[in-house]
Amino acid sequence: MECGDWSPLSQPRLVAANGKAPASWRTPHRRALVLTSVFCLLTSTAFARINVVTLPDRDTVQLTIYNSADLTLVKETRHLTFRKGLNKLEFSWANTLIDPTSVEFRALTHADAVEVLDVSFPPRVTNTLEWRINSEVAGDVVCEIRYFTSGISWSADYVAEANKAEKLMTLAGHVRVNNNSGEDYENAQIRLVVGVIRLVEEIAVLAQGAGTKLPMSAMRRDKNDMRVEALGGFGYKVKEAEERPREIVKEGMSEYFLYTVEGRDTIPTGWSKRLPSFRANDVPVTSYYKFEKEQWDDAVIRFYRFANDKESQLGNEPLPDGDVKAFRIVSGDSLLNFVGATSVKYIPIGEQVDLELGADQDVMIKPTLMDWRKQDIRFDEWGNVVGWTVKEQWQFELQNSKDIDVVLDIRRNFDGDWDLKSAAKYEQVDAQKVKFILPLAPRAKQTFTYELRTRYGTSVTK
Amino acid sequence: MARVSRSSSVGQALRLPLLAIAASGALALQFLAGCATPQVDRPAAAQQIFSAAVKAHNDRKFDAAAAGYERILRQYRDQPGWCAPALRSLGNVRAAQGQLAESIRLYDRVGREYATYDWEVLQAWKTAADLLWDAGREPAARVYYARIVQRFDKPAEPAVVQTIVRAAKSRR
Repeated sequence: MECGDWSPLSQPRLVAANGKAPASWRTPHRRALVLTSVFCLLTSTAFARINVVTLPDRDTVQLTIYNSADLTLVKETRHLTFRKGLNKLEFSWANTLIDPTSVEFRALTHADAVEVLDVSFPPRVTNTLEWRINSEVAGDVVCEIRYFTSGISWSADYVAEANKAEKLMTLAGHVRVNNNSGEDYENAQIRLVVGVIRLVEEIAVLAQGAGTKLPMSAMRRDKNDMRVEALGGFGYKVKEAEERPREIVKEGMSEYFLYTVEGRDTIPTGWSKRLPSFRANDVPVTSYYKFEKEQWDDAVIRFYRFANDKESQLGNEPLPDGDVKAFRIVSGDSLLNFVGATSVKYIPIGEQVDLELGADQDVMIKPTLMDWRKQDIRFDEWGNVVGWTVKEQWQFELQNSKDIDVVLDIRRNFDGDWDLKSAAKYEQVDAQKVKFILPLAPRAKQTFTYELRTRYGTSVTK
Repeated sequence: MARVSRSSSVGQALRLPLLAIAASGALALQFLAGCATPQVDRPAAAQQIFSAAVKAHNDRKFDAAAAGYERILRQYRDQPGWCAPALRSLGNVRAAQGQLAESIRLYDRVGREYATYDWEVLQAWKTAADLLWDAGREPAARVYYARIVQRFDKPAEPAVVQTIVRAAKSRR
């Protein structure tokens, strides 16, 4: 009986007649799988490597990246040409961060006729396993190999472009995928999972060879739990995604959210790639300026507020945490002015978000204490002061040097038993804080005042 | 001016003319810096040696590979996470060199000296068993297959381990 073994490298290659892999195979970043073709006799213990075959590309590669656990599920399919009888397939994880205990092989076609009989570890190479596969059929079989690796991560970032009036904006999301796994992934479909995975051990430690002291079964229990979650709904979700036109597919998976990035991309190890995630136009935005002495001293801080909901042309998915750069169109030819940068936390669907974009010199708020008096002084029977009231008169100068309307949010914090009088409209935020919301026209100056009375000692009324 | 490099030995440095050291504070500082022992990241250093050895191994430069693995075993005993695969890989080298008895001895040591490193132990025992089986030493091979079954025949083990256990059962 004949047997064959394969190496599904990403490019078709020929195997030398002596069975020795050509040097070009041993490039550091394409060593996950080594496929050679041999004939052997089951009755013989010596294999004669005599055949030459054309090796198949990876047909598909799918990366599902669990950022929170430094964990990526790699699933690849290849068309392999099996011989009837015993076949051999080598898989090497040398110089990669692949978890070798997670490697699985299965036939997607002729599944009943293809069986993995054994796994061995050929001594001539290191960090390589060899599947011994029995096939009842000769010919093409679509196979899937999947495993976990660490070293692949992703991060989100956003660009907000507000219109000149800062009433609407375009919000574009991107994801940057970083591959330091030691393996190149070509034409890979990339899926990103937002959520927290529980792992007792970092896979990288094991894959690098610095094995963990924990028994495999102890480690694996949690990995398997996670794998069930990762793979349980996987087939269904993938099928669903593949039936749709090419777009970014985002799906809820209980406590996780799955983003599928449009199209396919090649991400060599050591590289990172920024991929578009979404773009929403005409997102209503509220630009406002906050002043709170206790937080920012004398600075006036610009904010953009928007909501992750359908009314705002968003709300299709939660937005993962990431950096935001904001720009404003300042001329008719869409010249952009950098407004500021910040980072946002995870934004659930329906949630409102305030982007703190830094100080703006074009808006000035200047509080001045105009008068201070201690009055209504009370004495005890021995003439000691036991109660009094402090009255403060504050004046605020406001100046808008911009050519657009602005809204000011001025916050003041008071201690103790206080009351406030002002012609300006204000809201009480809590027991110790009020806010004045004041619109200010372009190039306008304005003042407002308030009188604060704070009672002390026996004058306290509440 | 005499130059004291980082690689200069203390003995050489002490032979520097005292006058020259006294004449230059900067030179004295340079001397002290040269004598300082650099902080070494030992896991990273072991990994570097292991990676080089693996490359040599896969390039079939078995002597170079063995030297690398032996160096880890000799100099990095405090890094069992690297010693365990180094010992197993040294067994692989000896097997590839046709030294069956020596390779089996090394695989056996993996199971005894790094017993908590399951994946390394499994690979070592499995390779030992297959080598013995292929060499026609079936009774000796069965000992290792039996060990594999005894230790790893658990439903929670991953697919790759379960396949190995299933095959081992058939040869026990």
